[in-house]
Amino acid sequence: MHPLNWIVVAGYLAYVVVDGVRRAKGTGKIEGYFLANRSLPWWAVGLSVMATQLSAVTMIGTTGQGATDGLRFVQIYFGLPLAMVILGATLVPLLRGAGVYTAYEYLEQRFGPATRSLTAFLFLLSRGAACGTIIAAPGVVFSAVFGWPLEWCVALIGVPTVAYTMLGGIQAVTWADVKQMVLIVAALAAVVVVLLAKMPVSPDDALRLAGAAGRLKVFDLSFTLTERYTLWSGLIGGTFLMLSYFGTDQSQVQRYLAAKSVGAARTSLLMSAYWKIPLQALVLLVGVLVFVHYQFQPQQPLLYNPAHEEVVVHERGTEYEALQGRFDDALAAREAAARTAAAADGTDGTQAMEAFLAREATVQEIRAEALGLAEQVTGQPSNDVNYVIPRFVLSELPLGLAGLFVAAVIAAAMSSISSELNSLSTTSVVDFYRRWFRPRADDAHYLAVSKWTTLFWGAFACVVATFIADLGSLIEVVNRVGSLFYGSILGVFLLAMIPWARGVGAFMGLLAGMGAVAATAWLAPDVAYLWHNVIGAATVLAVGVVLASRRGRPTKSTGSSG
Amino acid sequence: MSNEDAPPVPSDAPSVPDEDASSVRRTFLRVMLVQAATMLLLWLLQLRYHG
Repeated sequence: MHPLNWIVVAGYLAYVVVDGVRRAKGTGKIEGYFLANRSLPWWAVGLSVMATQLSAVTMIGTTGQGATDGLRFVQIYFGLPLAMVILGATLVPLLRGAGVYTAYEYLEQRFGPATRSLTAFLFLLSRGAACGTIIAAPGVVFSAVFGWPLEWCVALIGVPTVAYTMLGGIQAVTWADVKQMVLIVAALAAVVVVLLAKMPVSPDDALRLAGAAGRLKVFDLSFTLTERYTLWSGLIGGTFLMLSYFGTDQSQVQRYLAAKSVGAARTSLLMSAYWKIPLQALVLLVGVLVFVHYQFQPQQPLLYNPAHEEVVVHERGTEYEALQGRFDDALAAREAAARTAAAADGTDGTQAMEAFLAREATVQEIRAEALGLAEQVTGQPSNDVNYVIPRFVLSELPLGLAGLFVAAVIAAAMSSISSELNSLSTTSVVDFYRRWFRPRADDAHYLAVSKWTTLFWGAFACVVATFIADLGSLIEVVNRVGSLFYGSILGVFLLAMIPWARGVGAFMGLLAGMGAVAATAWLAPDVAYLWHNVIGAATVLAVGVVLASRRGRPTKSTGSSG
Repeated sequence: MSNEDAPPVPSDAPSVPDEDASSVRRTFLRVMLVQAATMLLLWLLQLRYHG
């Protein structure tokens, strides 16, 4: 990458850390460190919520998915607006009114310490590992693209993030998120402008080519539990997933606990309700436009992962060279067919489009052969979707803009990691250290412990990131294990809103919910993971209500606790 | 430790008052309208260009 691009990246990293340290003012007590003295404006909280959810995986993986699979992934977010309204009406006033630091603290008020500790433990377990994957994903890509050792790439992202999170607490995290969100949207918009400007055909023709290749199919109306992204899994499973994530995950809950008021917290959530789907569509559209861009580029890489490409060239050079020759011919034929299809209309247009699709299929067949070869040689899964955008950015974007995009990818990673670290530290201190070990220490003590736990979780995440990258499929395992908990924890919070629900029901329901999801994942692995959230939540509710009913509903005068 | 030892829910635990309920209804309608408009745009995009 050109030195000017690196100057942009270095300037951004220095600015984030310096600004984070500056934001440390007013965080001398844990209320300030964890909740910013409940003083943050709605728009800052709203942008922080969106930035936390938009990780480097979104910038690299989702854009790549747009290039290879089109827009249909956006369906997963169709349940989000409804989830935000439900949370704004129910959980937000409940948690704010309870005066808690963590969502799990509220569960002790409602169901007792065992349910609180178990849900908090599950959060630490799943989020601690997930934090490692959030660093690992861009780290692996940077390592392959720039040829650096993975440890350096992990440190490049992890060290500045840990520094400003540790020193500045949630103030630094939130205000850094605001700037990072602006940077991310600006970088995406700039890439769209550059792509459209470089496109040799009109935007309408570009979209016709993308549509013909299936990249603009948004809605899948089939009702099947095994298809990962459908309208129904998005609307139903997606609603439960978003309710779980935004309602029970401390990294999100802590954002709206830090807002000035209940109204500000609600409005911040509504920002996601209005903007999340268009933003995700924009992210995917970048990928779709990159796909169209490569239709007119004879230099499209045969393998996008440069590390795999190098190994394959070294080990099976002759074979790869033959594939590359066939690929170059296929690219030239496809480019000619794309230009003809873009220029033609009517019956000629239909025939030209069919010819283009046949050429595109040939290109994909040769790519599949190359990916198979890479898999044989490296022994690793060779799906290179995460490398499509980085390769495009580094080879095609103008000077300065490539640096801006790399900075935006790092920003996306940092905004997610910082929120996770801050919430992991909060839960460790509030739900375990203060609850079980030192209930009556002063703020200075808790503040010091909070900073050290932030450092601990940061180091833990970086170590996990370096191991997870080597183990490959472990990332998938972490995600699958995490999905065992989400729906069940949501079920406990839903149960908390039923006045006669009790602690035993919540605790047993939580175990039963996780068991039901684990059984589904084990016995029916084809069931798409979005439905796991529905199964987990429904099981907890059913078990909790049945156990509460067996003990009889308490009268109003006896209270509603478990 | 028993879960049955849980303290009662605080008596001032927040509930949703009437004016809040109508505000939530209005917000719900607004959000659903915006979502319907977004999905309509995406559907028109698919209709115009897909297949």
